[in-house]
Amino acid sequence: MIRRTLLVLSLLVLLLMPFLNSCDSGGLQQLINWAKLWAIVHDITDADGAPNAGAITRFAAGDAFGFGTTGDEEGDAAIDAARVLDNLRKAEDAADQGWKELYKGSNIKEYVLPHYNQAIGLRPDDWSYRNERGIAYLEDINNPDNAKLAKADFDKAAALAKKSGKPVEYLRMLKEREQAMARLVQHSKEQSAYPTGDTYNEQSRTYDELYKLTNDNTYLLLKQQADTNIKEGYYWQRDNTK
Amino acid sequence: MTKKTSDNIIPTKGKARKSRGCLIVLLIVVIILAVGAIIIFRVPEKIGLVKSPAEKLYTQPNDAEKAAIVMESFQAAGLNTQGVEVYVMPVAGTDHNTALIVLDASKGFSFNSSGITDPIDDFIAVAVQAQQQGINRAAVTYYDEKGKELLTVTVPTGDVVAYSQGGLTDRQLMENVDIGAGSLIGLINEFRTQFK
Repeated sequence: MIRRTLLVLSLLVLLLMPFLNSCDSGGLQQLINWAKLWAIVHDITDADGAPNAGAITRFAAGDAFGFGTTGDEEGDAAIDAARVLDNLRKAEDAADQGWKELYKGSNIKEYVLPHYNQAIGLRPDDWSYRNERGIAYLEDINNPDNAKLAKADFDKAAALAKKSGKPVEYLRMLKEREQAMARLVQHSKEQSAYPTGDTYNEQSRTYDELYKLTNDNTYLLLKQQADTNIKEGYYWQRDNTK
Repeated sequence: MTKKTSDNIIPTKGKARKSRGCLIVLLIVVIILAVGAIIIFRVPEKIGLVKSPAEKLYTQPNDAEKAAIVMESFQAAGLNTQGVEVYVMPVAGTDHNTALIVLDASKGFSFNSSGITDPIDDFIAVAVQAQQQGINRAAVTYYDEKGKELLTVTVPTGDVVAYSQGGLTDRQLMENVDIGAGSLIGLINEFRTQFK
């Protein structure tokens, strides 16, 4: 991992002291004081602010060759977070766009799926985008394979959550799927519209699994509600006679 | 005739050995330079042979629920959250979570209008709340007005909480703070602007 920690600080200390010392804003001054203390504690400068050439050279060489480490894997990951943040932020933006288009009732193939495809391309191991694309597929009434494609995405989301080895992660995945579908169903009702029958079916399946995993009666009631909606025909379905 | 031939052969063998030696030395130098370049330019990571620590540990989705709680604690601390984003990433293979806090000047964040009075005092309020959510490390990444990542500062939340309770001194807290930078030149330019 390339970590230019001390090289950066040493150069900052050398180059920016005139600017830092002239600063009189309260918050910024506090920040500067902490930065100065950091430099002293990490042996970049002495207590008078004089740079320690030996430490600077040693750490700069180490950092330049990418051997810098915090000594802790999670610390290294956090320092290197920008690498993940870049893709994460783009993927979140893409998924937000996809969700907005879905809410607007835009053509799913044309305006919704490309955003989720982009998000999945950026973060292939992230189950949340598979869940959301799966829900988009459920709503794609024009696609005869929509339920099959949705199932493939939900299966993949489940596999990714299980891969974490944490039961809590699998539960979180199911809950997020359930909440996303519930939001969509609620939104459809507010627009005096119906979700698709496939969405209600998936809701029923998800509530059922959540009930079995948590024994929470709320999920049982929600499953019954979804089943009632299916029974009473409060949903859109593809016109297969055409 | 025989002597003449042997005179010719012996120096030729020596020259060949020397030039082979030179070639080997040259080859070693080239290999060392190539390996150095591969390490410096992070070729294995770029072509996907090796994952960075962040790519290895942050594979699971952002925990939006926890992220919202951390964001609320920023607001409760009186900070202007324009240009501030929070992501809470579960750490693979552990029960830990890391809060990735983005301060993005290209989206309106500014130290001058952030409402920060003392960065550590303000951060303590957030860290206490974060630790209650099972977040054991926080990393703050600053992006400049062009959206370029300049600096990341990270610290275990437990250390910040311990500091707030008097368990750590200023120096001890700073010992546990780590800093990395994405763009040195950008960082210097940014600081020149920010501190003028």
